[in-house]
Amino acid sequence: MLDGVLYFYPLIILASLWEIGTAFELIGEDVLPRLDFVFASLWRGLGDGELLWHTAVSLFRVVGGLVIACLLGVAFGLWTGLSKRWDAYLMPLLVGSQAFPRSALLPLFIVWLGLGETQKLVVIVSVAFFPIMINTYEGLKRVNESHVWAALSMGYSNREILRLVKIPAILPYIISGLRIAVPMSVTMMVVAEMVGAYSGLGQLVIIAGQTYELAKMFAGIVLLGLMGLLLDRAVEALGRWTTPWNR
Amino acid sequence: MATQGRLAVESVSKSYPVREGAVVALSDVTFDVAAGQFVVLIGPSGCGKSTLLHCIGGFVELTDGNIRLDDSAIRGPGSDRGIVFQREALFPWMTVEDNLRAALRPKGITGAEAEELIDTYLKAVGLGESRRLYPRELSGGMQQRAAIARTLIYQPSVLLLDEPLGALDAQTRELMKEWLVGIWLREQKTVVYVTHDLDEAVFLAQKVVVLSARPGRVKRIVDVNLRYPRDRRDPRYEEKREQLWKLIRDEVRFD
Repeated sequence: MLDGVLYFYPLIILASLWEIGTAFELIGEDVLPRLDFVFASLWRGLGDGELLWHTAVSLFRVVGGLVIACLLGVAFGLWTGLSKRWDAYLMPLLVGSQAFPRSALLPLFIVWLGLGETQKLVVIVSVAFFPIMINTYEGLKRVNESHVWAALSMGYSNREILRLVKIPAILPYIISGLRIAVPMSVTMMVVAEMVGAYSGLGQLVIIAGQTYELAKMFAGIVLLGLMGLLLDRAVEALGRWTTPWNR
Repeated sequence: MATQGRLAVESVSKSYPVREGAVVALSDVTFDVAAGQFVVLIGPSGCGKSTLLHCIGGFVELTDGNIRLDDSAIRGPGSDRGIVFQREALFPWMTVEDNLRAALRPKGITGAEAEELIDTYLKAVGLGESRRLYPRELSGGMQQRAAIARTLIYQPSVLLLDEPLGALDAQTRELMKEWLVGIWLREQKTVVYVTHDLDEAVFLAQKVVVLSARPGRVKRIVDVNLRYPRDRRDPRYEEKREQLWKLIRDEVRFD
């Protein structure tokens, strides 16, 4: 209990200052909406389904993007990590593509793919792919040679050693790559939704800002923050579940 | 007495390419190991003793020379030789019993037969209670015992031990030395054991191969004909220790 209070005390102080400042009109409502109005808006939005819908859409995009990025990232990480030749062919391309700010390519993605879900997923995958791929690759480079040798002595073939030794050894690396990819994906999703979308929390926040509904805007921001936190916890739990030896 | 596990190391050389030229790790190393014999390779750090062990394991290719196991040349790793490393010898992502199970699978031993063997070997190394734990939940000494059990269980004729007690604290190391003698006497397997610890050499070995500083050459082969379990108060024990130390001290340099 005390630990919980200690953990959250900066938030509690911030919220108190906010509520006191706005309730006593020390801070104008053109700067910050009253905190209780934000929660009222949140409550209403979740109740009538509007916020819930936008949240669900955004969550679907991020999770979908992360799943695709994971599959592609692990595949390319294994490919480049296991084959010296493909490492030489593909790595410059993969690393070079990272140098581009993906946000600058958003208009291009819209021209090519429109405003639908494909575009959102592509945009998210374009940032989430790299940390997962490079961690898979680095993990392979760091597989303990003595584990491979022990397995060879037992009579395993190189192909079997991939499953027996290498895949389990890189799992913690994949998880930490995924953990880095989560906030990048959330950020990129918000940007994509702000630039062009018919739904999602990013779209809700930018429209609320333009129409001066600050309480609604903050409700969206609070939900985005919670989403980031929740996804991080989820990846952590996934790590505990898939790598129980790695505490 | 064991009938298999006879090793012949014949003029083995090993050099590694580095940025400029090559480093010669081993140069013209020759010695024999009888079936069932306990041989210790000792030498200053960097003398190539671990490399030599890895060559016997077949993990590292020789630059020159030959290693034969029971008259056939070694051409790579095989389950006739089992190896235990200094640290993280077990697969950390598997429980103790799964580690042993993994060692049996390539032999086609599964099911009830495997469970029975796992039971026997874990009890033999005193880990019957810890079978469902992950390696990191075990002490260093327990991990090494489990690693040795995992190697013994697939019945190699030669046991390669690469500084197996090197990461343990002094008291655990003492107990493990006595325990190793017991296991070796019971299993009747050839052991090639790498260490830089003089007491380990005299306490364990029937034959000590002393290597010189890099490039590793055989400096002397010392037989230790003392009865097991060895008594450190025996003056001959101290004599052997002294003899080995004299051989090695010329080779040890401050880096």
